[in-house]
Amino acid sequence: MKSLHPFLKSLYRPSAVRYLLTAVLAFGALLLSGFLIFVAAENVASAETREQEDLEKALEDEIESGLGNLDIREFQEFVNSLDAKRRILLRDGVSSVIKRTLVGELGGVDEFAGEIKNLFFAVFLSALPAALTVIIICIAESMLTGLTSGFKQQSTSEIIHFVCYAASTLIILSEIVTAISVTAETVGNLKKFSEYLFPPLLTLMSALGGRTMTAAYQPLLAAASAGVIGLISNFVLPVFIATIVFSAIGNLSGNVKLENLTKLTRNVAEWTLMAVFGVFIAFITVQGIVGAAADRITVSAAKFALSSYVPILGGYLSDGFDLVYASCVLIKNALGYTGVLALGSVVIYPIILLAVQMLALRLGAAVTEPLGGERISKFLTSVAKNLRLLITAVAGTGFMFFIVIMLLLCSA
Amino acid sequence: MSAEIGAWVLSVAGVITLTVLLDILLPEGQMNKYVKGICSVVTIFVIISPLPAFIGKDYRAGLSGFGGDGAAEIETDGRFLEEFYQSERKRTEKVLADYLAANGFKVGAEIVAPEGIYTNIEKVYIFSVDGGMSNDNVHIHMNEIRELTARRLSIEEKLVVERTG
Repeated sequence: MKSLHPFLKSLYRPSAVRYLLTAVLAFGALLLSGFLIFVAAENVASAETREQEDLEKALEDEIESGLGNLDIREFQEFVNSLDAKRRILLRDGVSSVIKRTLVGELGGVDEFAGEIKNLFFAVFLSALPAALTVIIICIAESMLTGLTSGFKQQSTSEIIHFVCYAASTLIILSEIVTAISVTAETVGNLKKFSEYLFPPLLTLMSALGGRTMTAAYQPLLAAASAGVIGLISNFVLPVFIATIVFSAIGNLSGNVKLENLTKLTRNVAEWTLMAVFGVFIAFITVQGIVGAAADRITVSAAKFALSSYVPILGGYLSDGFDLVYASCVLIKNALGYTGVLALGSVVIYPIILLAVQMLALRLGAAVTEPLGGERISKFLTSVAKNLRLLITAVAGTGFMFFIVIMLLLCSA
Repeated sequence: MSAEIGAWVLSVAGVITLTVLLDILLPEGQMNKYVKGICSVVTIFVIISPLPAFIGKDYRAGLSGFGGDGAAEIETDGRFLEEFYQSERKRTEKVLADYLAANGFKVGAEIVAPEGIYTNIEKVYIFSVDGGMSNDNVHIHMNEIRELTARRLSIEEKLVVERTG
């Protein structure tokens, strides 16, 4: 100490050195511990990532196995049997849609909207010639009536009207026959749809612990496929034909009017449909909610004490317990989504066809009215209103099945 | 029902058409008025003719009264359920065995759950395995094994039993 320069001597403070040394050591320890923590965290993160990857791979294997065991052949064959117009949302087939859904590719709205737009214009162009023909007949009738207006006998005009009216009725009836056959075919397809889609969906729901819901839904869905569809085939369609016949003969002569009888017949069928749909949907919704709640309590009580969680698919799975369950849930949701697409495919074409026919008839009625074809115009308007019955039947049944699928999907 | 509706519609259509034809063919005069009146009355009777059939009808048939070709059974796929429950059970048995081994008890486990492990576990059998605990050790530590198993599977301890033999 004595040999040091005076300046250095002035700097030397025994306590300062100690403090400096302590600060340096502390800083060094801090750096080292930070480094060690970082390395350890890296190892833990990579271990977790490996575990997650293993779990995802195991999940994929379970899904493959589950799909292989589930019998959806009849549903696949049913979808493949539909013609191109009725398969616009499922062109690639059931299996590929299910597999795409399982990986999260649900398809864009643009794709669906494009298909529907093309279908709409195709149907509209096919319905236009009939409306145009009726308009031309009306023009001819008004010209002929003008030519015969000087005749003494009023019955000559009546005969001209009958001939033109008969020709218009024949053209319109040919379109109506198409509408009836499309509706009858759709109703048959909806029956097959319920027979082929609901068994595998109920199987999956039962596997996931939804026994109460399955037991409640089995008789209800059997009633829907037989009762409601029988109602449409054996009551609504004949009543629709009756309304068309009444519309035709009610406008045949100016003295005999059946407008209110047509309206009454149509309303009876509409109210019957709405009552049946309303009661059925309310009943099935309540049963579904109550059944799902009961099943959820049962399954929750059986959930296991978990020793470790692994983040996967936005949720958490235990180390193996829930893999089989999760795979079944994914398959159920994918099948349900595919079912919704199939349902949409089955009902979209007839609804568009009926709506376009309604539009064409109203267009014809609007154009023929100022031309003097009053009775033809009334006939066209009456038929357009009657078509609402078929649209209600098809759309109502489709909506009813849609609600059932949604309840099945939301149950577990 | 469709046959009845069809018959009614045809009868109404027939009467109306006849009325219209008579209206055209008959000459103008007093007779025309009376014929039209009679035809109107006949039309009314034809239109209301189905109504008496609704009186005294049994409406308890419900939707089945509308006909249809019978309800097809909506049945679940028993084979899939069987394989699913088996797969669940095997996986759970393996996880349980690994859990017990991690806690120092290397034993085998067999779960009895005919309706799936998420619905009802009826029994869990614990037994010794090759390379693991002997029968005697299993018997000695059965209470601890029972407690661990019951906690892991969220079941009652009395459902966990030792399999002997």
